[in-house]
Amino acid sequence: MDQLPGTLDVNRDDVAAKIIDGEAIIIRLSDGTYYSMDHVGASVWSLLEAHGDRAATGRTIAAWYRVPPERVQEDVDALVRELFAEGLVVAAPARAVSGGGPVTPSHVGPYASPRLNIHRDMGNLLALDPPTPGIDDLLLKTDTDEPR
Amino acid sequence: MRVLFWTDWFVPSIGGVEVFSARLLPALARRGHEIVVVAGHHRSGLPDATTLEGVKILRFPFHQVLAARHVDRMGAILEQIASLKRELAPDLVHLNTLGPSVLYHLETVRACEAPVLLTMHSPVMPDATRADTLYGRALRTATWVNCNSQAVRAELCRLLPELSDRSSVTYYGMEPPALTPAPRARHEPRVLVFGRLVPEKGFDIAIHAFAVVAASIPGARLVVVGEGPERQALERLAATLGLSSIVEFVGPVPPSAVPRLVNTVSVVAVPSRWDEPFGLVALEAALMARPVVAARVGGLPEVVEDGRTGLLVEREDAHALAEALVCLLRDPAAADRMGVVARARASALFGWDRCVNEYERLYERSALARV
Repeated sequence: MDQLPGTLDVNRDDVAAKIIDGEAIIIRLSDGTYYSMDHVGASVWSLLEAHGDRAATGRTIAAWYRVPPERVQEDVDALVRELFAEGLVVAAPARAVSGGGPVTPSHVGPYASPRLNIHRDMGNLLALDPPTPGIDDLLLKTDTDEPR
Repeated sequence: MRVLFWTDWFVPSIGGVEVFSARLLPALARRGHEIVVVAGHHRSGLPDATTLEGVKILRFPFHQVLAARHVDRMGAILEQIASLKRELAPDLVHLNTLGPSVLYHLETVRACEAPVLLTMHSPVMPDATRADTLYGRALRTATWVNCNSQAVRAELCRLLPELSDRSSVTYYGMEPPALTPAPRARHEPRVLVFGRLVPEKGFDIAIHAFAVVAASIPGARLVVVGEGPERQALERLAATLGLSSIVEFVGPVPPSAVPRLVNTVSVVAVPSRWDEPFGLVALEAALMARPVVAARVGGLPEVVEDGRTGLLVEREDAHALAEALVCLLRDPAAADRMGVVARARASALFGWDRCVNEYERLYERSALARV
């Protein structure tokens, strides 16, 4: 996409996401591709999810991490372009901040350009041949079996 | 040393790697190392927490949650794992499998920056070279990669040359069974194949080969031991070839019963069609002084020395497999000699104490290393 939209939203029909310990975990539900982003990327995701304003996201990240806004905006745009290409965000009309209260940084450490880790092989890994299950009389001896 | 041992699958599920790990970890614990196993909940009904001879085992529903694409439950597990890593503060994280659960490890590395040892028990997948795979990410970020055969390491370094100077080979080890090898039967000999009944193991090739063997060696029988999704197809194949009366399906046997089982047969066949990374079955056979006829795939030529401890045949070649089996069954003196050499070689190269020593050194070296 040459021209990035000014406002965006998470592709809520096809995406499940969660910020955990400052990292974003994102699942594209239609095909089970897993994504993750470190703390700066997770902050960008939170802001896009909350208000979707691309320029405001860049300004907020620059303020949180005390980095020149121009550099941050380039990074944010590069990340948004990738999120678009993956179908994780879509163009959306401007909207008010959603959710309860202002967005806070997920984790503020040293600034690093946000990176989208893509894991397209989850289906392959889940299909890996597991060992033979269900052979109860082959159980190796265990000392204790604590209740679940 | 405190080690977080990470594995998608663990006993009581039975596979060569699971059984080996269940022997290795208590041995390391007896040497004073603290081992905590984080494993997948691959079967229902298993406890979340248990111990195995002094080794703590914690199970999580890794695969089920990933397959369900349930981000909230995944988040809850990630928080548990991060908390566990912070509390345990291991000197080393040992990734024993490269399966789906590695995502939970990779997404919690900030909780614990311990060096990571990754063991490759399986043939290297092409995904290793891709930047957008968990598989490749785990390999690229590992501190040290340990392979179970030269064949696996060679393929790894071919695909990822940067791992050449941070990878090594540690062969499996096995204690010689207490049971004394019995003399091999001269009449009505039995040939054994055993393992999971999955296509990769090539047991169908053995059944095809046995149509020829049975015609040449009166009274010969093929004993198929193990369980798995291919069982019905294999039974049908034996019936179709008119071999139902000489191909015996025994079902699964516990690991402790394997020496007794091997003692009842004359030859063991390992007809794998995939790149068998090591071939524990061949080692178990050698320790009971049985010659092995194996496919020339993966690490099997490192365990079976062609012409000295057994015979190697080309992959998927049922005719060559049959010829090799007939050759050994018709020349019991040569087969006996091979069995004796196989046992001596297995004891010397694949001993248990050597294996535990090497793993201990591997842990120490990996814990000190940094990527």
